[in-house]
Amino acid sequence: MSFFVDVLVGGLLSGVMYSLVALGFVLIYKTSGVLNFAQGAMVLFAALTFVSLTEHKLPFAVSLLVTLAIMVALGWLIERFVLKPLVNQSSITLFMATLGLSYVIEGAAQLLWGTEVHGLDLGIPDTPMQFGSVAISEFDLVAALIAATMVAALTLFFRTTRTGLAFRAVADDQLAAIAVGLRLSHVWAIAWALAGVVALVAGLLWGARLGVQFSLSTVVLKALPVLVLGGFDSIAGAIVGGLLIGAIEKSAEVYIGPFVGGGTEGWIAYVVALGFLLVRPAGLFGQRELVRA
Amino acid sequence: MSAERALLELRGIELSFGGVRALSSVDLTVREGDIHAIIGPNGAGKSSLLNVISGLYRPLAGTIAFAGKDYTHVPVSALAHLGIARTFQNLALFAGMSVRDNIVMGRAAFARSNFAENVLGLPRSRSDERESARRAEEIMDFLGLHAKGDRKVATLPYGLQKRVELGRALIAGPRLLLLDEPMAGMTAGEKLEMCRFIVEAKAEFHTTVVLIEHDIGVVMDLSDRVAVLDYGRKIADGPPDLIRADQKVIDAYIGVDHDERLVEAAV
Amino acid sequence: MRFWLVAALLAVALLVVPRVGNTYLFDAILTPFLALSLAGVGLNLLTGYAGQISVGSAAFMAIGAFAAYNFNLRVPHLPLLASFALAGLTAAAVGIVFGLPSLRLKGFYLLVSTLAAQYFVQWALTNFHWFANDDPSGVITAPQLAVAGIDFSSSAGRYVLSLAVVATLTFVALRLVHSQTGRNWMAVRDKDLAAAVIGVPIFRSKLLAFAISSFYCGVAGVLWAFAYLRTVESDGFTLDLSFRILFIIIIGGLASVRGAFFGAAFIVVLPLLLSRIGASFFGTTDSGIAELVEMILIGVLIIAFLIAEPAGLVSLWDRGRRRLARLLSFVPAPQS
Ligand SMILES: Nc1ncnc2c1ncn2[C@@H]1O[C@H](COP(=O)(O)OP(=O)(O)OP(=O)(O)O)[C@@H](O)[C@H]1O
Ligand SMILES: [Mg+2]
Repeated sequence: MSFFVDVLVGGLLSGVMYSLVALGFVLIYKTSGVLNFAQGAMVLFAALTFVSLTEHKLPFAVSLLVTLAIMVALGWLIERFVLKPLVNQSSITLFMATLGLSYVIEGAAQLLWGTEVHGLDLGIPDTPMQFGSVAISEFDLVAALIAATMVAALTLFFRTTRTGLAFRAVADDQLAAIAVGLRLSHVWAIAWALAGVVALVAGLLWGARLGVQFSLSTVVLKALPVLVLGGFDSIAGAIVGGLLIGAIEKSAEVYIGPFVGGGTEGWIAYVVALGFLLVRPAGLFGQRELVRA
Repeated sequence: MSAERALLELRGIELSFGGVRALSSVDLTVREGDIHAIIGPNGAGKSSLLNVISGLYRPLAGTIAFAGKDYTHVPVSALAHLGIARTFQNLALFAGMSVRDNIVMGRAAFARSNFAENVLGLPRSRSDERESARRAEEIMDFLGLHAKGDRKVATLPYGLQKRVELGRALIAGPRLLLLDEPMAGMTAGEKLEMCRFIVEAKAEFHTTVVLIEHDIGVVMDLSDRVAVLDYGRKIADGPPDLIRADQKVIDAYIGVDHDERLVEAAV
Repeated sequence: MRFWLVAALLAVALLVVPRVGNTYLFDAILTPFLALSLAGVGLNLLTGYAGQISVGSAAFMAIGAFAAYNFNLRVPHLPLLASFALAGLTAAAVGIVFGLPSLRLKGFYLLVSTLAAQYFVQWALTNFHWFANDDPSGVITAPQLAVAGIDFSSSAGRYVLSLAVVATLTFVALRLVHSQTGRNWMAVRDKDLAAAVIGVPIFRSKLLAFAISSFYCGVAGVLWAFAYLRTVESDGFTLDLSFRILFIIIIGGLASVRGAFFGAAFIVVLPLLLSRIGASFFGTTDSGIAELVEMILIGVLIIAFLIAEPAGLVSLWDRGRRRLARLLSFVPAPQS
C-alpha cells in the first residue's frame, strides 16, 4: 500500500511539471485558438538561454531578467510575423505554422548556444523529505509550489486586471470583443509573451531535472495528452490533466512495465488520452463545441 | 393547382439549446408539389426547423413524417436516398473543389462503385462517372454555370456560389428541396434569377420546396403557402394572401421591429 | 500532351538514367527521393485530400519495413513484390486502428492519435525482439532484392525497383483522387456537414483514407529500408521523419500528388546543397551546424509557404510555366 502511495505521489509530482507546460498551451489556445506546437521549442530556448547566460558569469537574477525579456520579445515577434499574417486560416494551417516555428526556434537555440547538454542548478536541493511513510524530494515540492503560484497568479490576472478581462472576452467571442473595441492583436501579443514566461519557468524546472538539452522539446509534447484530458481551454483542466497523466504514467511503468519489458512511459500517456478522447471529446473541463448549420 | 397529398408532416416538434427554446410544439404540413415558405424574424427558429427536417438536429419531442413514414429523428446518412436535399444559410460548398465537382458531389449517395473499381476503371465506375458528368452538364446548363465548370468554387462571386449550392442539391433529383435563405445578400437582379431557377426546378424536376426567405416580396410571389415562426412558435400558416392580412403576423413583425417590409407589403 | 510528357519522363528515368547515373546519384539522391515521395503521396491522400492531420507517417513506414522483412523471413518462397504488398496491407490494418478515433475527433485532436501511433509502434518494434528476429543489435540487414529471378541489389537496380513501385502506386493515387473516392475525401475535408447531408459516408471515407495512406507509407517504408538504407531498424523511423514527410507535402503542395515529388526533391536536395555551400563558402564541414541551419531554413520555408503560397511549389511551378508559355507566345516565331 505504502509503495502504491509512493508511486502515486511520485507520479503526481512529475505531473506538476506536465501541468506547467500545458499551461503555456492553454494560454495561447484560449485566446487565439492556436495549438502552439512550438511551446516545447520555447521551453528549450528559454532554458538554454538562461543556462548559457549564467555560464557566461552573469548573476542569477540578471540572467533571469534578460531571459525573461528575450522570451517576451520572442512571443511578440511570433505573433507579429507568423500568426498575424495567418489570421483566419484553418486550425490545421496554424498548427503546421507553429510546427515550422518549432524547427526555427530549436535550430536557432542550438546554433546560438551550442548542442551540448548543460547542467542547471537552481540551488534547490534534491534531498528527500519524509512525510509519514512517503518520501518527497524537496525539489519536487518547490516545483509544485512554483507551479501553484503561477496558476494562482494567472487566475488572478484573468479575474482582476483589465487585460485579463480582455483575454476572457476574446476567448468567449472574438467578434463581440472586436465590436467593443478590443485590439485582438494586442491581446494575442500579450498571450504569446505570457506563454514565453510560462515556458521560461517550465524550462528552468525541467532543465534542472533533466539537464538542458534538445530532448526537452519532445518531453514537452506530453503536454498534448494532458490537454486532451483537461480540455484545451481550461487552466484547471491543465492542472488536473497533468497530475492524472503523471500518476497514470508512473503507475503503468511500475505495474504494467515489467510484463512488457518496460519503456511504457514513452507512449502510455498518448494511448490513455486516445481512449479518453473517444469517451469525452471535450476533455474533463473543456467546452464542447456545438455544430451549427 | 397543387396536389393535396402531404409529403412532409411535422407534429409537435420541440427543440431547445441549453435553456433557449428554439422550437415549441411546431406542426407543419407541406403538400407535395408546393413551394412552402417559412418566414419570421431573426432567431425565430427557421433554420432550426430545417435542421430538424434534415436530421442535423434531433428534436426533444415530436415526429417527422416524410413520404408516409414516421421518424423521431431523420437519419442524415439516409437523407439522399429518402429524396431530401438542402442548401445552407451560410454557404457550405467544398471550397477546394471545382464548380463541376461540387455539383457532381450532389450524387455522392448514388455512386455504386467502390474505390477498387475506381482505381481499375471498371465498367461500373466508368458508368457512374459518365452519368454524373452528364447530369452535372445538364444542371450547369440549367443554372447558366457551364462556362464556370472548371473554376475553383471559392473564386466565384457570392451569388454564383449560392447557385452552385442549388445545383448540388438539384442534381440528386430530390423529392423535397430545403432552401435556407437562397437569396440572402443578393442583388435584385440575382434574386430574380434565383426565383426563376426555383420555379423552373419545381416544374422540371417535380420538386417540393421548403423555402426560408426574408424578402417578403419574393415570398409572396413565389410561394403556395407561407408559415410564420416567432420565438420558436408557428403563429400562422396559409396562402400568401391570408398571411399578408393576418394581424398576429403584423404584430409579430412590428413587435420585434425587425422587418418593416412585411408591414409595407401588408398595407 | 500531358500524358506523353509524363511517359517520356518515365522512359528517361527508367531507361536512360540507370545507364548514365553514378552510385552517388542513386544512393544519396534518387532512391531516398523516391521513397520519400511515395510516403509524401500517401500522407497527401490523408492530409491533403481527406483533411486528416497525421504526424505518424514514420510509424507506418516502420510497420511496412518490419512487416516486409518478417514476411520474407518467415514465409518461404514468397515473391519479393508480394511481401511489399503484404507489408502495405499490414500497415493499412494498423492505420485503420489508429484512424478509428477520427470518427469523433477533428482537427488537431487527431494529432494525439497519430502521436500515439508514432510512439507506440516505435516502442513495440524496439521492445519485442521477435520483430527483429531476435537479433541482439536490433539492426537487421535487408534481404536480397530479386524479382522474377532478376537481381536488383546494385545501386542502379535498387533505384529502378523503387522507381517501378513508386510509378505504379502514383498512377493508382492519381486515379483515386480523380474518382468519386477522391471527391468524397475532399468533401469531408472542406465541409463535413454538407458532405454528410448529401450522403457521403463520412466515417468510411476517413477510414479508407487512413488505410490507403498507411498502405502507401508502409510500402515507402519498405523502399526506405530495403532499397535506401539496406538495413531495417526502428530507430530510423522517428517523429522527426514523420514531421519531414509532413513538410514534404506542405512545401510541395497540399492536395497534389505531384506536390509530394516536388517536396521530396526539396527535402532530399536541401541538406546536400547546404553542406556543399558550407564547404565551399565558409570552409566548414561541420555537419552539426549545417543540420541546424537546415532546420531553421525548413522552418522558415514552412511558414513562408503557408503564408505566401499555401498551394506549395507545385503552384509556383505551374505559374512559372504558364508565364513562360505566355512569354513565348508573344515572341514572334523565328524566321527560318
Ligand atoms: N447549434 C445551436 N446551438 C445553440 N443555439 C442555437 C443553435 N442553433 C440555433 N440556436 C438558437 O436557436 C434560436 C433559433 O435559431 P435559428 O438559427 O433557427 O433562427 P433563424 O430563424 O434561422 O434566424 P435567422 O433569420 O437569423 O437565420 C436562436 O436563439 C439561436 O441562437
Ligand atoms: Mg437561419
